[in-house]
Amino acid sequence: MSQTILIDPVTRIEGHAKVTIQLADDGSVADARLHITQLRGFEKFCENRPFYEMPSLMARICGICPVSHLITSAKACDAILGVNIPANAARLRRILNLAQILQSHALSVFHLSSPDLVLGMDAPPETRNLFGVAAAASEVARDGIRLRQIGQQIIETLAGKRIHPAWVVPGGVSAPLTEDKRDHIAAMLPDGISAIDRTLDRFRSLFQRFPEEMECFANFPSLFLGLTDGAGKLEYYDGPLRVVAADGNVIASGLKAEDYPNYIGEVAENDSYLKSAYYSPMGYPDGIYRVGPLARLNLVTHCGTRRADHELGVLRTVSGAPLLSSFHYHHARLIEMLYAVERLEELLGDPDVLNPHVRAFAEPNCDEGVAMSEAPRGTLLHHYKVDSNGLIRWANLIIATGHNNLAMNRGVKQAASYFVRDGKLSEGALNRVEAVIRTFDPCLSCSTHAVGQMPLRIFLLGPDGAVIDTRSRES
Amino acid sequence: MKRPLIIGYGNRLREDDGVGVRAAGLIGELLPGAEVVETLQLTPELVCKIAEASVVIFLDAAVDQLPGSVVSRELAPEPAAAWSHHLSPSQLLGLAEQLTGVVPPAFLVSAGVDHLGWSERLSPRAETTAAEMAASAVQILESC
Repeated sequence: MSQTILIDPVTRIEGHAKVTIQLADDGSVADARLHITQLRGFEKFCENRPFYEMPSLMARICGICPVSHLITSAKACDAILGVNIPANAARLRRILNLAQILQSHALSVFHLSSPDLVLGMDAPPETRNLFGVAAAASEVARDGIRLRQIGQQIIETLAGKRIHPAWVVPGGVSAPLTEDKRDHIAAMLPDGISAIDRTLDRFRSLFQRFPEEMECFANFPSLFLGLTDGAGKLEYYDGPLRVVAADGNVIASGLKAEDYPNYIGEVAENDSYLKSAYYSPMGYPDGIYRVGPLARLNLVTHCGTRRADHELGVLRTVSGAPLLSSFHYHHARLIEMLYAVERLEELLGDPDVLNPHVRAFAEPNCDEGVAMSEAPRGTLLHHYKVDSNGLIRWANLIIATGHNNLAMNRGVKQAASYFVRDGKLSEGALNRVEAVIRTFDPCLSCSTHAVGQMPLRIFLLGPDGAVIDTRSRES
Repeated sequence: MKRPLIIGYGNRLREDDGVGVRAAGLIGELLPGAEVVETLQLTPELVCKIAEASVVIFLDAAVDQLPGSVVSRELAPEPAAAWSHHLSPSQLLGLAEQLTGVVPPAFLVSAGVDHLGWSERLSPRAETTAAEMAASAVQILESC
């Protein structure tokens, strides 16, 4: 008789999810599924709102990465206006986006995943949290908190508040950067570099203690998708999309956001509110791809800043390229944090960063706007259609976690197959199945455009569909 | 030089849950030398500010107090068994102690509330209560 394991809720991720593991008659894992159990429906309730409200409305999708939605939404609105925004407006948006990537990656690496990495996957669950890390390695917790604070303070300094700022508007930003604010931000950055350096020194060897996890945490060939600067350098704010195969070959480049229906397909499964995106030229499900830090570093030739390029070289030398195991998302995030701080230094050092010309004004000139940018978790797409009065008639959002949904599901099955023994789910196995999902840093508030915390339950089902074991943990 | 840290927290979209945030704003007007933080909830990042403060005052709404009442008490650091989406003031102090070894004197000024609907406005009673919370906080600071 086959059996099913249910993990419900999944913990230390952003939102609500559960996992079902279906066992075969011999006790091996026949299938595993990640179910996203929340629905919010931003795409529907923004209909009939004026398009210029969209950046602020869309920022409410998420409390972790509101800036990413704000920026992508504003870019889609720029397209509706039909304007090229001032160069310094784009520069200031980039600065805000880099700060967002810094604070969000710090949350993922330190607050959510460092308990597994520092304390071990089999550590008692009651200690696997930031307090446990603080007790075992206080400098790791301290650096994580400081890095997140730096990112948040930059956002607050630039945009007025940490969460749901309204500074980014269609046509640019609402106010220029002052000299005082620039100096205040720049003064925090050396602290950030030091904290990331210390973390990398510690984590490089720490990662090597997880060979099994490296082997079976979503370690399979897939496509990788993300923005570049057009020449192959890392780019978050704007640029053409590139698709790279598992062997590193570029299979598509120069893809434009507005052409996304030609290369991205979405399917809805009957057991999850999260749609699965796929690269449509290869069909479903063969067009499985990954986005986010790992994908971005797999598809660029280099980052473009000294320290980040050095660290990327180290990672590629030690672990190969492209990196296929999602366990490497953690290291990729640290490299991106380093890049973010270095790039912030460059952008703030540009004398034109104080240029007061930061907004273009226009009436709607187009009835449709599509935009992409790189959020911390991966490529973010907003697509709006408006009527002659500028009211939203239709909206579509494709979020990083949706891009990664097929890969997360396959990764959950791979890890479950490896760690579920004799039809039983030990605490260590439960945590590893969750940890696979955590490597992607999914944000289910974003991906279902839904609000909520993110506990997880795992269900172990027999071949007849009967629940034979469950593991449950509140967030 | 260290200065007082005022942390007002609560959800300003849920009517009187934002009374602590309102009180923090009032203190900012009364005491320009204090650092005022207005936030939705307590997060680990506040540890950095706590370590640099001469005294910390938390301002919060409470549903287990008589509506309109204002209660002040001194806080001691507490360990937390687990953290994910919620930290109490004492747990935050515990984290500060663990990470920085520094815990300044800390107080909680709480106000009883019972209007927690969907509104960005405080009820008339909570407006009055916010002023009382601010006065209590100033009194604590003067006695420190």
